[in-house]
Amino acid sequence: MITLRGVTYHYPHRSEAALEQVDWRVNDGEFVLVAGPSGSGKSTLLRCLNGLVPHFSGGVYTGETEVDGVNVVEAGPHVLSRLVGFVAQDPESQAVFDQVENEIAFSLENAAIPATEMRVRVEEVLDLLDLAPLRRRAVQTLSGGERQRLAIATALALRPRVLVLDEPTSQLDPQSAEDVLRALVRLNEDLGLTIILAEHRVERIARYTDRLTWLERGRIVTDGPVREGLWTAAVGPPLVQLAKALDWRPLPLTIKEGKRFANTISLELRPVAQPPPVNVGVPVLEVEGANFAYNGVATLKNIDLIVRAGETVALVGRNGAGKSTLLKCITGLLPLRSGDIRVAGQSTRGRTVADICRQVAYLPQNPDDLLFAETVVDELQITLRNHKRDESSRAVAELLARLEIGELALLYPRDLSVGQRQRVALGAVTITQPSVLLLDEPTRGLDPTLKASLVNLWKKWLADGAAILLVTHDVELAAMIADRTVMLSQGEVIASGPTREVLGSSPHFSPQIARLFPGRGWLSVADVLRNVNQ
Amino acid sequence: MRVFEARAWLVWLLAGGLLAIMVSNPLYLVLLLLLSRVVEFACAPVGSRGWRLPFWRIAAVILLFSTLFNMLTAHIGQTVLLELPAAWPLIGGALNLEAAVFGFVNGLRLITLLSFFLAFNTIVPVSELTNLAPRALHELGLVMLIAVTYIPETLRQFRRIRDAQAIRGHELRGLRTLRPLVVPLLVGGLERALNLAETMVARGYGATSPVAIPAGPRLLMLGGLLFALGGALRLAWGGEDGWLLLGAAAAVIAWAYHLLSGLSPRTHYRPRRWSTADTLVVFGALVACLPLLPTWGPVRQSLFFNPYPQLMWPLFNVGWGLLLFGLATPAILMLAGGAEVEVSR
Repeated sequence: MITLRGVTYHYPHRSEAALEQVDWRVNDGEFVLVAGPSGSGKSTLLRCLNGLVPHFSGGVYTGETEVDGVNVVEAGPHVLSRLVGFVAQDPESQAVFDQVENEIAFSLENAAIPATEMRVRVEEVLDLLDLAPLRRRAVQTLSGGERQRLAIATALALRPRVLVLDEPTSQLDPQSAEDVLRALVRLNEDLGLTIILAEHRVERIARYTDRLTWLERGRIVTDGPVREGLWTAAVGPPLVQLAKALDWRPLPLTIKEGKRFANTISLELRPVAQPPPVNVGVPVLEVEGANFAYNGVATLKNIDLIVRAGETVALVGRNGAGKSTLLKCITGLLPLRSGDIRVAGQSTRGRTVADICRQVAYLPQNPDDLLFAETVVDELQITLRNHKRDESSRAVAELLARLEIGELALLYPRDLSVGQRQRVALGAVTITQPSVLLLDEPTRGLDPTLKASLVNLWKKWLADGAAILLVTHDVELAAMIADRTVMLSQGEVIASGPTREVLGSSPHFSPQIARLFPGRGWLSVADVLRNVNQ
Repeated sequence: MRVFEARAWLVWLLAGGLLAIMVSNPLYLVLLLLLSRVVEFACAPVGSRGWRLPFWRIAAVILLFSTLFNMLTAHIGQTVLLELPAAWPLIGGALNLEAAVFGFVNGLRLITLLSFFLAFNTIVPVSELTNLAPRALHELGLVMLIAVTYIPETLRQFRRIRDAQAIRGHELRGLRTLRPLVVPLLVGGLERALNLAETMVARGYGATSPVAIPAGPRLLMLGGLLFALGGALRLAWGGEDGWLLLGAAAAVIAWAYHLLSGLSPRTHYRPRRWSTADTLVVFGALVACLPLLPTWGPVRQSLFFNPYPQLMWPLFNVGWGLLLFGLATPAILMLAGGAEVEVSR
């Protein structure tokens, strides 16, 4: 179905190749996962399949790509739009029209499909993606998962033979991601649609796919059946890491498969000792009976929360549960309707955002919203200037060194990679040495290596007595760092306690290891290995 | 739910807009304003728009500004409210009630016009607005509409960036402090535009094969341009008939686009069939405009109101007031209910 021969591609004004000598073949009906570190060329490879690279992006392209016998470079994206459906990373920037079914019909209208056939096709994709009840809804009222399913529906309207998706679940909570992935599996299995999907969260996708293509620095380093690919890959989901450590073969990809192996060693296992005591530090952030309403709709209801020095509390819940709203209330960006928030014992009522944010660092979901200065150093110094603090170059240099971006100090922040920009943004909000860090989806779009390096950084801050309140959909991240977890649903706290208990008992938010060994309070591979070795 | 054709709504908008511009009687203007609000309330699809302009708040600001500005700067009228020292530049002198009323009426015209546009924008879906453009100009129409729909998203982005900068202690104090907001907004806006453009190309936008334009429309276009040139020259030399030539140019160019639209292979999802209800909406809008005709002499006088030199109560013609209710036809039909207008397949 797809053949790439010796494809090398350079983006305009870049000397380093985004793709280098790529030879790749995908058979009809395959479900292929494209993975690899950030900046390894995954998105570029996907865009080669429908001609967006090089037709839309420019640059220098050599080699040959064919989809269903059509030469992609010669035909261009317009012709390829009928063969390859494309779903980009951010569903919010993809909608053209304001109503669900009109949005789906957009590509059909462009292709001058007769109105009668158009109706049939729209109905077809509405049913395929379970969107029929939402057909008259305004696009902007849809949830994240619904929007992503709509983006897939719009890509399928022209009945393409290949569906290409670039990190389709990166912004979704586990349940919504599962809904989207099940829809893809149905398309692949029932219609025989060829699906190529790029994703960092391999643990979410691996079990559904036939093949893994691993890219590094624009080259394919592993390509083959997903089990073989994951066995040789340097990183992988916790289940795979555990299987590799215990030499479980064939490599399990689902919890069901993993349990077959887990049961064989279960007799050697002992329940973990009581979790280390938490709540030992001084409370630095206290939320008491917090209520907030947006346009008359209560979005936070009676929230009680305490974060102590040196601990990390994870805030989890579905999209729209009120997690980001709570962070904004803490920083004073949104006013509480009732209740109180105290930082280091001092109420935030009546204080300005700037005043609160000298004690509380808040890293928003999109770190690019923070960056505007000419250099990395400037970004940090501007925050100090805003807060009328001493712009000491020593303090700035120390923080940059701690963030491991000291060598980037004089570069333009927006030219940096996604992981580096995340660190600059973190520096810009923490240069005032706040006692509390509020992190809103800080690892979105980051690969496992970058994620691990950020976690190490936070651990250093925790050791120095800072407290972290972390909003995340990534349950493996929460399992890795959070001492306690608070689960929100529709603006209310529905569970709160040690992470082992809260995540371990949740059907949707439990990490792989907790699902593999239920009731033992284990969350990480290390937990298991420690007990196996005993 | 009853829905009307976008072209019927366009006539309604043009009628309401024309009246808002022409009429200066505040009593009629208030009536027009209320009618447009009622129509929006009755006809806007439920939950169709997440973000809405805070109309009444903006209206209050416009009215206040317009009234104060005119009162402070136009020292005309006979009813003195307050005397400011004459030495004060621009605002010094007598502040008169008549000037305040004149400013208020101008503000009222402006918010009435805004109200009609807002109602149109809320009621008519974006997808139908694209159908208003001739098919030959579809791509241009689509691009303009995307630009319009970009505004709410840009405002959301602006608020997000403002919040992000506020947590760094940023305070807006004049133009120099705008940079932290403007740079991320521009860069983010460009990235969003590129993402959307990429998605549209991937979805086949502009994929229809180009059709050779036959000689007929080409000649008509050329003729239209020549008429337009001739008309402009006639007007430049003081010839009143220049307007006729310009009118002819518009008609010929419109005809050329009509022919070109026939060649465009683009199709529409759920094309609407013109219905009796649409005709009634158009009829109501035209009826409301009847007194604008020069033949309606006595009634026509009541349309205009001038508070100078001394304020007097504006005239009100009950008959014309009733005719204005023609603009409420969509709301009346909506409340009357009935079957949904059929969609031709």
